[in-house]
Amino acid sequence: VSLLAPTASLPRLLLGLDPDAGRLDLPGHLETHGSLPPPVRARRGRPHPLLAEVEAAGLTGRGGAGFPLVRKLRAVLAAGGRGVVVVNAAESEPASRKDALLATRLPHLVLDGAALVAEITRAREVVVWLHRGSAAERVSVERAINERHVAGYPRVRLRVAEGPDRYVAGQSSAVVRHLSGGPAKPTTSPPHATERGVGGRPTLVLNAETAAHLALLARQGAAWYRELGTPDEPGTVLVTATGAVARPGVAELELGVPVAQALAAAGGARPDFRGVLVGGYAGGWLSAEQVDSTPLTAAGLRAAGSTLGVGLVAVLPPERCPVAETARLVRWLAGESAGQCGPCWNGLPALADAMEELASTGGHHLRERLDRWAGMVTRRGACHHPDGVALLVRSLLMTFGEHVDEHRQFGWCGAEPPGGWLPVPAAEEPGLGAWR
Amino acid sequence: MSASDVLPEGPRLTIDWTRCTAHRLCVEVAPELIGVDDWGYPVLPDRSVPPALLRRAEQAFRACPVSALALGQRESG
Repeated sequence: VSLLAPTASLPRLLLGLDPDAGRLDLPGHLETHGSLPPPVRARRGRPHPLLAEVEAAGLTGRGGAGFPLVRKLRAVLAAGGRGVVVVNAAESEPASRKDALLATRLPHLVLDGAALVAEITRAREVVVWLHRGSAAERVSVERAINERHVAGYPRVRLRVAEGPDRYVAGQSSAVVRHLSGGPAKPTTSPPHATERGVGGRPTLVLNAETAAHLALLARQGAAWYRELGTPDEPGTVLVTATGAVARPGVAELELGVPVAQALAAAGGARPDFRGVLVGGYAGGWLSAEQVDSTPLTAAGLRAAGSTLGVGLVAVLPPERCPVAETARLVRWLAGESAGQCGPCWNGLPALADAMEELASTGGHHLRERLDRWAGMVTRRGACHHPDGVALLVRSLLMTFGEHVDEHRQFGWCGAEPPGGWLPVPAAEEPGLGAWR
Repeated sequence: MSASDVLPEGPRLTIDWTRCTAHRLCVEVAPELIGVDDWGYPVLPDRSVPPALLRRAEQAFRACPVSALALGQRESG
């Protein structure tokens, strides 16, 4: 994972992380960020003081959904607390590297945040969730757990758990189901994990980056946290800039700056780039012009037909075709359906077929068909996987409307065949083991 | 049809998509309320059930052979 040069008042999370240096061990972590405030014994009827700080700071989840952390904390407390905290560092987005960076270079920031959530909710256990086979992350996190143990800095019991590397396995209900002994497939809610999670206990699942932000917020306070970002979306965010940029990697940016800053942080995009895919593979396209005018916030990106998601910013080079690349991503995403919900199981392959037809042979009916099926899969599943695919398809139709029309009329546009732009993991062998 | 504008608190039909296997009995029982998509799965109204169709909605709920349908207050968020 390469690390990008920060700007002015930054970094926060990435403070003390030299691009050439390795991981921050516990002494390095404490030297850089200082110690956590002493633990507060939370009692019934007297809320933990950090709860108000989290609310005042307006910290939102960084795993894709952008849910306010304070609401999850309150929900777990309302369910009686004393449950489980799961910090998700598995990073199911194939091109995103922020959680890998945190796990391999800044594990103590993540563990601090997770320990704080456990303290606030009086949880008995913290589980760090990783993909099976992500050896570097596992070694780093286990070393960090050991460093804390040796130093007598074990606020809570910490352990690592591993699950299958599947796209929807990162959804919190899938993580909870797997940790309860089932397949890593999403479940219908309610009940939410906050009420009935791992082993039936109240469970708070948060993204590794969210935990890292909490670790700093607890030290510096809400007013400090709000010094950067916008009033509605304060703070900073980690972005992974990739594709047609000079130096792909992870950068920390202030929320509210133009999306173009992600490109600048990566050494600049190729001047004739065609557009950017933002948020994730189930994200939304922006045109090259929109990159300057769209703020890097959840609301700003939503208004532009995209999403902040997990902060992926993938720059499409001029020789590649947005239609063909979208078709490739939709096909892969269709294969990542857990196969539990009819509209997803049927609709995503149908969307992939229509996208491939548009990319190769064309057909005038395809815009209407894609639009219809995108609508037909939206909000019609146990999880939001189909909604994300619909977003990707619709943002293509909106952002590259003219090029889509050329494809409808003439089919293949003569661009590079898709394959070399974004990584798409090999399809999992179908079988019982794939989701365990 | 704007019954839901009058009674925004009325019950809603919801579905557990992991259970539904497209038997379509709900569609047969309550075609005024429930449509069908291009793959044979039910399409529920995105609003609360108008009082006049409440009985129909209850019949659809009872007709589902896999208990995928629910009729109740939708939780917010």
